[in-house]
Amino acid sequence: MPAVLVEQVSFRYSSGFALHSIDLEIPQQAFLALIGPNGSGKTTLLRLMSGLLRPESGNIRLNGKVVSDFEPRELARQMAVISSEQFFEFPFSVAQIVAMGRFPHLGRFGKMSAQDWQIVEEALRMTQIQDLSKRPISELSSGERQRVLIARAIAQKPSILMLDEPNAHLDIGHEIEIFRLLQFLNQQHAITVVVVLHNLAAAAAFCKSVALLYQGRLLKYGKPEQVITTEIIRGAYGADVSVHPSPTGGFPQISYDR
Amino acid sequence: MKKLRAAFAILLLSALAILRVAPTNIVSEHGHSRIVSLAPNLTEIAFELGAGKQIVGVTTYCTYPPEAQKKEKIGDFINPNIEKIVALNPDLVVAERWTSSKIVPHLRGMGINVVETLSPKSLAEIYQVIREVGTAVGRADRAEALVRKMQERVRAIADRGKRFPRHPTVYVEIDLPSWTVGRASFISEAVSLCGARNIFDDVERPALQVSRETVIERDPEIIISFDASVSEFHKRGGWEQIRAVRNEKIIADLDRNLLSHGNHRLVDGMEKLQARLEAIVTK
Amino acid sequence: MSTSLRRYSLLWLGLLTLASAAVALFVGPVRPATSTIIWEIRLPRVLLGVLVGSGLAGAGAVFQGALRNPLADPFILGTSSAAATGVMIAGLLTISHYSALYFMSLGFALLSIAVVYRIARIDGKTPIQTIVLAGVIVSLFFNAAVYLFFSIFYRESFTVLFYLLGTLTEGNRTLIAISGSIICACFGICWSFSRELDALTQGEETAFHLGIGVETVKKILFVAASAMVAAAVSVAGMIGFIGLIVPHMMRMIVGADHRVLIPASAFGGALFLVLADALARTIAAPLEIPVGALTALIGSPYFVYLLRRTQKIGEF
Repeated sequence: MPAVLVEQVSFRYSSGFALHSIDLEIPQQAFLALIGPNGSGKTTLLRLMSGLLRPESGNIRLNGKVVSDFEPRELARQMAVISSEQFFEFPFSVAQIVAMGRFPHLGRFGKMSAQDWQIVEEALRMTQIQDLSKRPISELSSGERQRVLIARAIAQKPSILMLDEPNAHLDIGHEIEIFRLLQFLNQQHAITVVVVLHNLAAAAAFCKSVALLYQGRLLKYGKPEQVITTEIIRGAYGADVSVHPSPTGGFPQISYDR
Repeated sequence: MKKLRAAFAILLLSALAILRVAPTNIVSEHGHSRIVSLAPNLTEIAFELGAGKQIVGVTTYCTYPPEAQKKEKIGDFINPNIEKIVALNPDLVVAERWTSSKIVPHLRGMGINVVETLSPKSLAEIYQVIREVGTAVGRADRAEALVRKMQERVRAIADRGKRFPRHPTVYVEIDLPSWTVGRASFISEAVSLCGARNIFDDVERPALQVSRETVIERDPEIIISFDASVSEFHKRGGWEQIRAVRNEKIIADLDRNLLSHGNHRLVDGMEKLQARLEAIVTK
Repeated sequence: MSTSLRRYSLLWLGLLTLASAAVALFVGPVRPATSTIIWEIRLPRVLLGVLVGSGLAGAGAVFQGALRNPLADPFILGTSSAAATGVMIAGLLTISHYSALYFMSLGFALLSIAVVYRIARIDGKTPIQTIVLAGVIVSLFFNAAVYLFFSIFYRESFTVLFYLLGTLTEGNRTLIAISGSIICACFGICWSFSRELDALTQGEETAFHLGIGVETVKKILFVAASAMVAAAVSVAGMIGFIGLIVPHMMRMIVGADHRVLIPASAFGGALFLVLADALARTIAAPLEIPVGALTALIGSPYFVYLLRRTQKIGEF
């Protein structure tokens, strides 16, 4: 059973922008990058898959069940999402934010059990932020915050993790750290990862597959070397770039033309 | 609040009585020995009826008669201090009827005898208030005598007013910017008994705010002001053309308490006002 | 973890509230007070202070969390203006029974919640911005109605004005009990939604991804919190700034976790109002200052301070 199955999904905003009959099958334990130029519909597709939006026609299934049939709690136990909407005005501690990942597993009057706290500790450890656990989130740097949000997602114990540009505002060092973390979750914890990306180099280097959207349609879907080619990228982005195979890893590398 | 004084005048003005139920308190024939008054006009009436000795508490606004100033203060009538009232251990509290007052229900809830008088909007209602206070303090006879005396003096004022060679129009400004009185006010009634005519007596309200141009249009011969001084009227744009302003017929030095308190002292105020009006029309 | 420390701060706040309530029983213009004054006047007053203070501050904590705005005020949705309009209409209809004023203001305040929600609803959703906008519009409308009333009617307007000037001088125990029950029940509802509130502060999308039925939860929280405000306003008038300052201060002390913050705000609000009222009835004796004016007087400078602080963060 695929982790996510998108069947003939169409969607239209009142502003006019639309996605047109998208078909996409994301297998279990995939590490998929959704790429495409601005306004191509990547984030819209992510919002549809994560249940925030309902398709106008077509179906989206998550582990076999139609997304809109899920209760929010049930959905949150299977899928964690880190959206681009992030607010840090309230002085929650890092541990409190990560503990929010346990909410879908708790009853209304249920308390956090020792086991829940253990899961939180585990998530803090995996993201290497144990030392920050008592600090207020508002005092952390962007890189640290991104780790906290990933730790919260880990604490949800999902089988699918979706992220909207987790590398936005990060320098290249922190960016690589985040991708290594995602790779680790993908490989060691068998979590399916779907990530919206602008940075094609990162998509090519870290993701197992890439889906390219263009003007609301799925243009190309396959391994990074199949999708990220000079021809396709120039066509979709209208950018003067060249793609070469990496001398070391075999994945495509992108360079700007002058 | 900046407008405490205004509020004071307003509340004592004849106004539409929100409730017109006569109080049903049973009063002993001998009257009460510990009375608290929550309004200056009621304090004045009680003193006039000779119940001054029985009064143990008054508001900070109760300045007449001078003996009243020596009584214990229980706050002003907008914010009376309920603890002070209760501490005086009164057997009677007299108050002006005021629906939203949280004090009166509270006092009654504690078993304290409270008599609420209506808020008078005519001379007839002022007589009624005096009788009510008289009954409450056990001096109904003196109240009746006081009313009769007042009625006699009012009749004399009315006769004299009718003999005026002409009946000048009057604008009564009770508060800034241009609050005046309508027909449903004892002030308007007093003005007409004195021999003049309130220019807004066509409005069936106790008090109303009018636009200043309407005053110019109605062009009163005389202005009676409770608040603004004579020079202020000269500064108002367009008002120089009003007859009262042009001819310096602005009366701004009457004791506003006499005319606005709504009790027996209104007659004193009326006599003073009539003298001033007469001087103007007979010149 | 740090939760044990937080639990202690709740305990301390509770004890402090109890102590201030006890002290307030012996503070007033009459010294020494007779037992009648203490039991029949000050006790209902202190009790009402506890109810109203905790209701307003608790509602404030809920509004700030759900609107994701640490500067939100519980009167933001126009509840108090609607209550004023209710009293005004009672005055216009010359309804003379005193409790009628109470029920009219409570009724209008509750009605306004429904109106705000109806206006804010777009395609089955009620985005935060439209809720705030609808609240602003509703309060503008009701304020205008009240001002119109003020300008036309002279004496009657004092009925409204003085009913709404915040004061705890309510002697009718039935009315205190009605408002008290509403406040307690809605407080319980809000408290049981603490986790949902925590999640909502992270943004509505995030809350949804954490398994929260956002629209339902928002509706429950706004209605329950507004009902608390309605119950408080109709029994004690406008008491400003408690709902704004207290939750904000408490967040600095106990953190943002609503399971602790909501009861902490309730204690803080009760403490603040009971002491402010003791001050209000003593400071200018024999005059009594409306406690609503006093709280706003203390609260306004703090609000300015908050504004300046947030502006600094904004510059960063």
